[in-house]
Order: sequence, then C-alpha cells, then structure tokens
Amino acid sequence: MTVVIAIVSLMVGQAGIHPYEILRILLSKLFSMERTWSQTIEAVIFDVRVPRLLAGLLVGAGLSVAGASFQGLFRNPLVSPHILGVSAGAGFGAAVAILFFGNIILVQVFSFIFGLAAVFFTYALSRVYRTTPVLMLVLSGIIVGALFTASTSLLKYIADPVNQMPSIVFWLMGSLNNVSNGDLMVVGPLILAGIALLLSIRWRINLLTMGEEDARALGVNTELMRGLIIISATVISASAVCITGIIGWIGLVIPHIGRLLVGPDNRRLLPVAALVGASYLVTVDTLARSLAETEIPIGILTAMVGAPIFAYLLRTNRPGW
Amino acid sequence: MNQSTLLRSTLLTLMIVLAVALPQAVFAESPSTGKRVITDMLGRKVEIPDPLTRVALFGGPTGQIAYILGARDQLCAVSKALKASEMLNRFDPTIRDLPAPRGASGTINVEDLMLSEAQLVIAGDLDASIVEKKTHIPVAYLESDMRRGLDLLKDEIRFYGTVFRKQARAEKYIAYLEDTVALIQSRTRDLPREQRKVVYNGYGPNRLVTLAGDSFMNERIELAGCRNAAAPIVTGGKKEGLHVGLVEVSMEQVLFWNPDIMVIDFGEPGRLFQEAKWKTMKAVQNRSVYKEPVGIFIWNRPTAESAVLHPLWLAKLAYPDRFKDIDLREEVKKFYRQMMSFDLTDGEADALLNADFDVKFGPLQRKGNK
Repeated sequence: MTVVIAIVSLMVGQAGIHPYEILRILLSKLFSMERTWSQTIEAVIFDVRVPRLLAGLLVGAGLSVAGASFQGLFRNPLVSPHILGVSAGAGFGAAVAILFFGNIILVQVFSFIFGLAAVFFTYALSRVYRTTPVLMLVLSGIIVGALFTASTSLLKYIADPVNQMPSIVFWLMGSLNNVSNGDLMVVGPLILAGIALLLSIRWRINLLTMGEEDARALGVNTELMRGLIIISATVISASAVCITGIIGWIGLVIPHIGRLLVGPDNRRLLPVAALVGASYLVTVDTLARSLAETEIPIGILTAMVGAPIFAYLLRTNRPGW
Repeated sequence: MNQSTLLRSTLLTLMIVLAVALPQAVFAESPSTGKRVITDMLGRKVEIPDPLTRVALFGGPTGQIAYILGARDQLCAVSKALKASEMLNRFDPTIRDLPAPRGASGTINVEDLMLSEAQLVIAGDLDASIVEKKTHIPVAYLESDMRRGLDLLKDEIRFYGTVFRKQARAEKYIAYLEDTVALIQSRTRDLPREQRKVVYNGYGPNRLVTLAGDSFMNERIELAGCRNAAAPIVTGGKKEGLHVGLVEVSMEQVLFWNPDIMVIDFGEPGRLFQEAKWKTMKAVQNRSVYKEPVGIFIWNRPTAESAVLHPLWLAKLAYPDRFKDIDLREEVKKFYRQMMSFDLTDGEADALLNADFDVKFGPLQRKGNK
C-alpha cells in the first residue's frame, strides 16, 4: 500500500504533468530513451517531487516508530515523540537562525542542534530529581518545552512582519516544501539509523511496558534501554524537524492506528507503524501541495485529519499499549 | 488577575489624566493655541492644536513621509524601525535624539509617548487604538492595507500634507511619482503581455515566501512592465499574525512558473546558482537573481521611496535596452536630493542599490554584506 501511495503521489502535483510522461522520465534514468520532455519537468520530478516523497516516507515512518517506542517506554498513550521538548527546541533554533542569519542551511543546523539540546536539558533536569524517572522525564520535558516555546514567542514578537515573521510562522506549521536532495543525503541516514535501532530492540520495549521493576527482574538493563530509545527517537525527530519544521500528530496518532491493526505487541506494532506513518504523511503531503495553488502547511492538515481519528480512538478506548 | 489589572489601569488612567490635564490647565488661557479639525484616513474627525509642532509618527512604512514634506522639525517621536535606518542616521543624525516609543506593531511605550509631549499621534489601526485607549492625545488613524497600492499612498501623502500644512510638497512628490510611472509606461506600453518578464519575489531563508496577487507588490511589478509570478494567488484576507498578501508557495509551483527575474530579500544571489533545485529556472540560468535594494527601509514595502524607485529599478533590470539612457545611480541621487534634500554620493547610491545599507528588523541588526 505504501508503494502504491508513493507512486500516486509522484504523479500528482501543481505542474500537471501527464503520469505517462513521469513514468518515462523515471525510466529514462535506467534505460536510454529519447527526451520528449523539458528540463523543467525533469527538475520538478527529480529535484522536487522525489526528495519530497522520500522525505515524507522517512519522516512519516520515523516519527511513527519514535512515537510508538515512546508510548511503550512511558507506558502512556498520550505521548508523542515531541514530549521531551525536541520540537520546541528545534522551533527556537530555527527562529533564531531566521532572525539572525536568514540562511536555510543554518536554519536546519540550528533547529537540529537546539532540538537535541532541548532533550539533553530535559534528561539532565530529570536526573536532578531522584524519584520515578519516567514521570520526571515527562515533567522535565514539559518544563523545557515551555521555556523554548516562550522564547520562540519572544522572537516572533520582535521579528519583521514581512521579511521574517512569515518564515517563522510557516516553519512552525511544518512543510515538506524545503526538502532538497542534499538534505536527504545528510538527514536520511540519521533517520534510517534511528528507525533500525528502534526496530532491532522492539521486543525489549515490550518488556519495558510491563513496568520498570518487572523488566529489571527479567534481566533488562532498563537504564540502558531507556537511554537507547530516547537517543534514537530524539535523533529521528530532530532530523525530521530540521528539514520539515514541526509536524504534529503523526507520532501520536499513527501508533494507535497500528494498534488497531495488529494489536499492542511492539514486535509487530513498530514495523506496521512505520509503514502506516510513511503512507499517511505522503498522502497528507500530496494533499498539501495539490489541493490549492498555495502550499497548505502540512502541520495543519496532519492535525485536521489526525484529531478526529484520535477522538474516535479515545472513544473506543482500547486497552494496552 | 482582574483586580490587579483594574488597579493598574486605574493608576495608569490617573497618571494620564494628570499628565494631560495639568499642562492644559496651566496653559489654558494662552491665546496662541488655536484648534483645527482634520479628517483622518478612516474618515474620523480629529481635533488638533494649531499650529502643530509635536507629532508622534508611528506608521511603519510611512515615517519617511515627514522628510518628503519637509516636516521633520514637527516630529517629536517616531517608530524604532525608522530610527534604526542606517541611511537616515547618515543624513539626519538628529533622528537619534528622538524617542521611539513604538517598537514592533502593537507595542507602544505609553510613558515614553507621554513624555514626548505629542500633540497628535499618527498610527496604523492597532497602534492607534492602543494610544487612543491609554492616553488623551488626539489620534489620527492611517489606513494600513497591504492590498492597496499607489492610490492609497497618494491618499496618505495628501493626508500628511494636510496635517503638516505642506500640501504643496505633497503634490510635488505625487507629481514626481506620476512622472516616473509615466516614463516607465511610455517605454513598456507596447510590450505584448506574453513578452513581459515574469518576476518572482522569493523571500525568507527558503525563498518560498512571496507577496501574492492581492498585495501592493502586484501593482508595482505591473507598473514596471512585468508580470508577478504569484499573481494568480490570492491570500484571502488577514491571517493570524501575518499581513495580507504574504504566502508560502511550493517549490514545484515556482519551477513551473519559471520566472525570468527573481528578487530575494537577504543573503547572496550567488548561493542560488549553486543549489541544484533552482538550476532549471530561467532567472537562475540567466543570472537574473537580484537582491532587493535598501534605502531608508527595504524596498519591498509600500513606502514613498520605493513606490517611485522600485518599479524603475525593476524595469531597468527587465528591459535594459529600453532604459539605456536611465542611469539608476543618478535616478537614486536625484530622487533623494529633490524629495528629501539628501545628497547621496555615487558610492552611497551604489550601496543603496546593492542593498548594502543596514536595515534593522525589529530590534535586531541585520548585517549588510559589505
């Protein structure tokens, strides 16, 4: 299904290129073929649609896997990958770079670094209180997130209304619009590595969901596992956020859809969540760039589609996560 | 919270009443303070002292109008953006001594404003309503609408002309503006629509924020004999926290528009030539990517300076053959000399056209690329 959606997504777009021609252009990279299309169309396919599609797949899968792992780790269905403050930190980093430098590469670097930094602060803060570590992590995440969000608001307040403010606003709403092949070369492997690591330890996440004491009794090094999950999920979300801005709901809702499909067992849930997440984000992004002449910020669409689904799921109230 | 707000506002009102009432009480019998009534841009009647000697001017893009009208001496407070202009600081160093109670839109330091002893505040709707609510200083509302172009600017200049009693100077500027527009049109009128250059404004770090078809920019590009790539896009009114007309478009859309000319707001045009995704665009292939010039403020605003010079600059870039005899450097010098009595050197005119002047966005300094 993911493959079908990916192909359909390649065919759709504002430029209105005939699907047959797109097929020929794609195949021309494999076989030698007579060129019947313009340079622009080829650039639209290879420099815009393909990287966008790949980014959608990677980010969708990454955020969903990270979300599912976090929900397992925190044993809480309301947790998303952004719970430890990564998106708040990344948003602040991006706003700083937009205000002071206005350079797209620095915007990405800053959002990545601040995303990681926010989670590091959260983790450090949670270690200050020597009580239930998982609860303290969540609370610290809320504190750090609030600090960065407030700082971002301050920056928006002093930004120029025409040349800076729109960039910050659009960045915070998320979009796959900025993705280039170069970004994918850097960020793609990071996300893939994060996903691979989480998938490889997914059965241990099952043990963690039984509770820290029980897991420890079964011989799991809970401290190490927690660290691994947090690091992988953070690298995934920081990488995702630095090329796409803040895309909400995916990491929260997709794991629940996965549970509806295959149940709460993380061994099956994580791969399914990855596929569903990838399909979902690509579908929504296809809508975002083809529904209207302007780009609809994808953060708006994911929430508008995700929120009703989530509301429905809450009603059915399935146990186990 | 309610109580403390109440207390605060009561205290504030008390202060304001004292501040406003006391001097009036003292000078009430002074025979020289006449009154006259003006109509502001929203059609409201405002009673102001006559003669008017202390005006607080908070209009973002219109602060420079005081220089065009020769009414600088009547200003007693300005906005931070005007005060921060590198060019203005060079030609009118006394601007540094004026208080700037208005920061970003919607932030007014009421105390500073009252200390400036303004007799009249001229401001856009948000700032004006704050001043009106918190002080007794007469407030004239500007009409700030990013959708309207030259007609609004002319209304605005004439309105300021009436307020400052500088109607003749206002008409002089409007004549200059109309002459320039007529000149450009006489050179571009015969261009068929399909031969007109397509211009794309790519703002922000990703170069994908633009001023759409329902912004003043559309008219300005048309005046330059060009077409706005984003003309078909309508932003549909005000969005939360954003001006009308601003929109983010998709990369695919921009490549599809395939503009002949691209104008960026900051950074180096050269960087675009290295990014793979832009490479098929005509503007990049022809090396026709330019940086928006910065005078008193960056030219992509509905300001008096840019209304005259921006279309001329763009037209010359788009159709060099048709504007061979127009020397932009001389045009820039002529405009600022005749309109504001600023004598720019050749070097300064070039710096302006190369966007080397610093423009301060909010309280942050953006470094020019020198």
